[in-house]
Amino acid sequence: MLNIKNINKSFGGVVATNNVSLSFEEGSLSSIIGPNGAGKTTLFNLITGKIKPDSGEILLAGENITNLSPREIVLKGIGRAFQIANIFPTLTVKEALMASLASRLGISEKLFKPFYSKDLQNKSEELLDTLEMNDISDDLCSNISHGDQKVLDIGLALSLEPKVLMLDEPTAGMGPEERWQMVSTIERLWKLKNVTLIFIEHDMDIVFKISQKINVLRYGSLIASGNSSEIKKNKEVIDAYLGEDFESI
Amino acid sequence: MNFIKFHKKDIYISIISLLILISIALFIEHPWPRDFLVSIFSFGLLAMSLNMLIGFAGMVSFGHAAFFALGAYAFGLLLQNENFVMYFGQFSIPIAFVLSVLITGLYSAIIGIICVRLNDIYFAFLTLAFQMFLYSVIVSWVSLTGGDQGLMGGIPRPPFLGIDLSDSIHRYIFCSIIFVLCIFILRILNKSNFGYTLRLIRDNSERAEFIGIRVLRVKLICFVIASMMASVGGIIMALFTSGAYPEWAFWTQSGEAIFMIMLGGVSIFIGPLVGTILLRSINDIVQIYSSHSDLVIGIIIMIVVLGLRKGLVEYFLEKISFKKK
Ligand SMILES: Nc1ncnc2c1ncn2[C@@H]1O[C@H](COP(=O)(O)OP(=O)(O)OP(=O)(O)O)[C@@H](O)[C@H]1O
Ligand SMILES: [Mg+2]
Repeated sequence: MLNIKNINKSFGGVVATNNVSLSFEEGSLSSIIGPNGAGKTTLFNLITGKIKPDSGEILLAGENITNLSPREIVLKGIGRAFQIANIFPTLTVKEALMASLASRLGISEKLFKPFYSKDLQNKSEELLDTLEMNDISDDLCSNISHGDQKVLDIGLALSLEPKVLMLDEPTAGMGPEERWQMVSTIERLWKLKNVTLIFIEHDMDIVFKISQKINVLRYGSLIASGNSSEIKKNKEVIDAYLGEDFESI
Repeated sequence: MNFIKFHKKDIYISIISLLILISIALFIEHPWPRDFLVSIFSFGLLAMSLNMLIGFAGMVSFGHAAFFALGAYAFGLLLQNENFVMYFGQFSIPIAFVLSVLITGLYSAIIGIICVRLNDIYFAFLTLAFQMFLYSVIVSWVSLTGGDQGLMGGIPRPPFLGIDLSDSIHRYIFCSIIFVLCIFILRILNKSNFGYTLRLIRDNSERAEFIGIRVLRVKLICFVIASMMASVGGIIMALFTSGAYPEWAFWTQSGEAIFMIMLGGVSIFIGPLVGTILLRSINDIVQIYSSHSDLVIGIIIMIVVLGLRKGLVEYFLEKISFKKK
């Protein structure tokens, strides 16, 4: 589905992405892990067009999307939620989803078309059902809980019916209970929507539990790639990231 | 029709406002209320259209009055041109009206293409710079514009379709209709898909781009529409004074529009209009007693901004909803 070939990116002297090649199978659920500053978010930024690579290629279903704008990449089918929930503070949850759906339907620039149309409302209610956010649909995005903001951020990405859904630390800043709730939401949405899902995560329990494939970054380089048991046994990953005592888990 | 059903309330409000405005002309002979209201129509449109940029889209322009002035000068110059009036005869006024709005639209599109790429303070300064550019053109091109004296010699107002704009009642009713229509259009825009796309951009333009919004294009469309609305305000002022003055293109005119918005409040649709009424009233009242009206107005604005930290309309609406609870 998504293929990354020999991609490089440096900021001044910092090599944030060092010759990374990766592929994500259609419908798979993969994670990207690595210490702080390893270049995980940078990789997401490269894939979604927020920054341009110095060299290398990104292919979506065989099509080269390397130099497209963020908007073009979104419309090709790569949706994204952000490390810090990235939402619209003064809109209600429902309005934010309606506005996003309007964009998906290509009617977001209609000057005189009433926004509160039956069609947009029905579609947004369906999406609210999927996200299980009905009870807070009329709250302002800035007033809902941090966890709900993260779900809404995912909902905004989902409203565009992406083929590939990329989540940057979906459980960041959450307590243990909320965290596992988020994990089940992610798994549920992944199955329901049949998307290719890629997520960045620091919590190893979560990573090992739900990932089909784990990719480990360090200083911008891909140091390992494989399923949970392969990664747990990988000498380099243990040294670099998991620590000695990890084998016992 | 769906559209009418959806906007039923706004259509009623518009019709009722228009009837009230017209009845003022029919029942009150003294010209003062009409003159006052025409200035409200004119500056109200300036403030309301500026709030389409500031309140809807989060684009704080310091140079909005340029388009107000351009509308006024274009309208005046077209009608002062004998060939124009000879050619279009009794349709001179409506055609000059439409052309002036379109000329302003075109000019704002050219400026907008450059300005909308910039954010925040850079956008504000660049719009200000373009306004001062227009101001210096007006002041220095004396043969065309009359320089600091303004457009001299009056603007001819040939009657059309039985409407004679040199008659003060006709002119007032004409301006009322145009004004209510423009406010209605702004209202529809505010509640449309486009209006909500502007809110997305105002709240978080980066995220808007990541849900597929063409941010620059939408900002440019907004900039052009707001400028055209401001030009209508300028045309009303030109009709009213039968002239056009360089002060309208000076930066203080944009500043005044920002004061109006601050006084009424950015977040409520009608706020800037209320702000306009307040500012004009305060101005007229203070002028009776003192020649330092700017000082008094400055102090009032400081009290509102520092004391309430929001516009007056926002403040009172909050009070009311608080009491209800
Ligand atoms: N826009 C930028 N300009 C300059 N340097 C950047 C930029 N973005 C990232 N970097 C640098 O690139 C490196 C990788 O950053 P990145 O944000 O991708 O890390 P990360 O793996 O997402 O870390 P974290 O787990 O803390 O989110 C860091 O050294 C960072 O300082
Ligand atoms: Mg990161």
